[in-house]
Amino acid sequence: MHMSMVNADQLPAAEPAFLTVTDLWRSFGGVQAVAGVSFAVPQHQIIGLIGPNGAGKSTVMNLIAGIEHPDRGSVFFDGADISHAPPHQVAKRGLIRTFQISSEFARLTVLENLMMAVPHQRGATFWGAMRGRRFWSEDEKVNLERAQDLLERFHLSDLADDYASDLSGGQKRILEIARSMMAEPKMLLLDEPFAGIAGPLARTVEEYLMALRDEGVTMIMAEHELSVIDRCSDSVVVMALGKVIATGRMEDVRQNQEVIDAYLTA
Amino acid sequence: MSVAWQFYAITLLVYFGVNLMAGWAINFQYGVAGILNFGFIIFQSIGAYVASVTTLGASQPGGYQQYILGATLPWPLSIVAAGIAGGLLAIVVGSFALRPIGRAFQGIVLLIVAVIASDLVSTEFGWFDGTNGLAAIPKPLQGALGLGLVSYGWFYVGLTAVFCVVTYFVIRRCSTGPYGRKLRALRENARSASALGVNVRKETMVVFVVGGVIAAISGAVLVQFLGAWAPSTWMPSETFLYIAAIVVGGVDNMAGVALGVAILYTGILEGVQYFPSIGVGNLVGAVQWMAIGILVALFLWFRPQGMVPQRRRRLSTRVRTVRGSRANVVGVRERDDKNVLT
Repeated sequence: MHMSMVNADQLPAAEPAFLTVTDLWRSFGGVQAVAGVSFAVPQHQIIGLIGPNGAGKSTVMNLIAGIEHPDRGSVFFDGADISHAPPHQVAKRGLIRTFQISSEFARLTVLENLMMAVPHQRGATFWGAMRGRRFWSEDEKVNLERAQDLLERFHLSDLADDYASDLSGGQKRILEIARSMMAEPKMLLLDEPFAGIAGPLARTVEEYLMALRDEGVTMIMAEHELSVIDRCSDSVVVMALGKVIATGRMEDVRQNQEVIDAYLTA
Repeated sequence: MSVAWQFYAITLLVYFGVNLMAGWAINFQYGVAGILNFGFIIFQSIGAYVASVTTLGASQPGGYQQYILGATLPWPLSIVAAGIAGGLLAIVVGSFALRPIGRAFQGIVLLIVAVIASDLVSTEFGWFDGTNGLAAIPKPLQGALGLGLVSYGWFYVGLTAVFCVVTYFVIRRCSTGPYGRKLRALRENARSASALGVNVRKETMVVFVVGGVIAAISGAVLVQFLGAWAPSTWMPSETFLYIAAIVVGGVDNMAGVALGVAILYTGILEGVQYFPSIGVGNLVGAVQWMAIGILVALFLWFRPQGMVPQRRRRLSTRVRTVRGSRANVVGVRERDDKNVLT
């Protein structure tokens, strides 16, 4: 099965696409980081985005999340063209990206990191703040319960009031995933979510992500650990040198000669 | 207390109040939201100028001082006009200086703006009478109250205190709760904050304007006390005194900033006045800057969080397991938590 230059409409899509990326191009100086990438993500699925280092996975995620903008091509999410939308607008539509390197708010507590991500908080604007505690305290209480539930689920309750800078690398990754959950996402872009998370905790996170998928959250997961992709993802998109070289189910892609070559030569 | 001492105390207290307002404003911008405003002094200055020209009356052709916008607004309106001017200047400057997210870039652009503004105001004699500056600025309500000089001075101390209380109230509300949390997130990692739905440019601009308005009002309060204002009173380097005050006192802590302002302005700047005038002519000025420079360097090296550090906001409402509760009982807590004043 040879699937180089796959078009969105060629994908096995049981449901209409939730996110459609069409012919995306982006260069940095002389480097063509992304060269004509197209794929579609159906709703309620986990799509693995894999490929050797430098394949352009993170750039594709940045282009989808609005952190970078494409030189050419388009991104449609939930029926809207977000190709050139700034990141905060993309996030407000329910598409939340996590980062490969830890991006915690260091001098905020763990709980504050989570609370910060809740959209539409009553007290989170200048005028809302000026109206005083009585205006937002009920709202805050509800969010606080949700945040503490999440921390319990990820075994971070003991650290709730510690500064995020005091967490270990793995704990920071979990914090970031928990934080993105507080943002009430319709879709998550997870950039190597398991990097630095060890053993049993990795299983917890994995199970949690799959449960989320079953609850209706769509995900793209860039990950080097292929066994995780094997277990979690419904299908995969394989990238190399800025291009999509294969798409499909993991077991099929494993047999693809081009994919094997890309991984061996990278 | 003799009249001379009373005047001295009045001057110190008004200066302290004005510097406190400005210190809180720049701390709100830098300490809470992470905007490195090296051009802060121009916002204080525009407030002072606008409060002056809107009370001096129309500029007389051939008069001893020339200025624009001459008017005679009654007292609170001149302060309101100053605040509006500060806000508008913040919108104009912020529209280009805050554009890129890079903090160092913002700082440098704002410093350059301050230097250019200082040069322009110094050389354009038609605006605010250039290097001569403005003088004989009326004191608010002096005629209406009919107080003696000393009593009026104490009245002005009270007036300044009212402005300080209002400033405290506004900044306190803005830096606690969900809004303060959002601004601190922006300070810590603007990229992550925007990926979570925070409009970084808009939020930064709001903070910049709030800080600009408060700075301008502090300038207006000061100039109506002093009765004069000139480019020599707002050198771009003055901003670094405010930054020094919050570094020493405690970044992102309103009590810390008050302490820093007291130490730097009332302690050091006043303290060195009592130096004997020996050696070079401007010994006092040189010693002031040296003392402040050394103090800031020492703090950055040995206690970067300042005397009163940022308050850790403990939101957790649930009972802790062994680790947390034991720590509470034994009192094993980081040092900075004991120093909380706010």
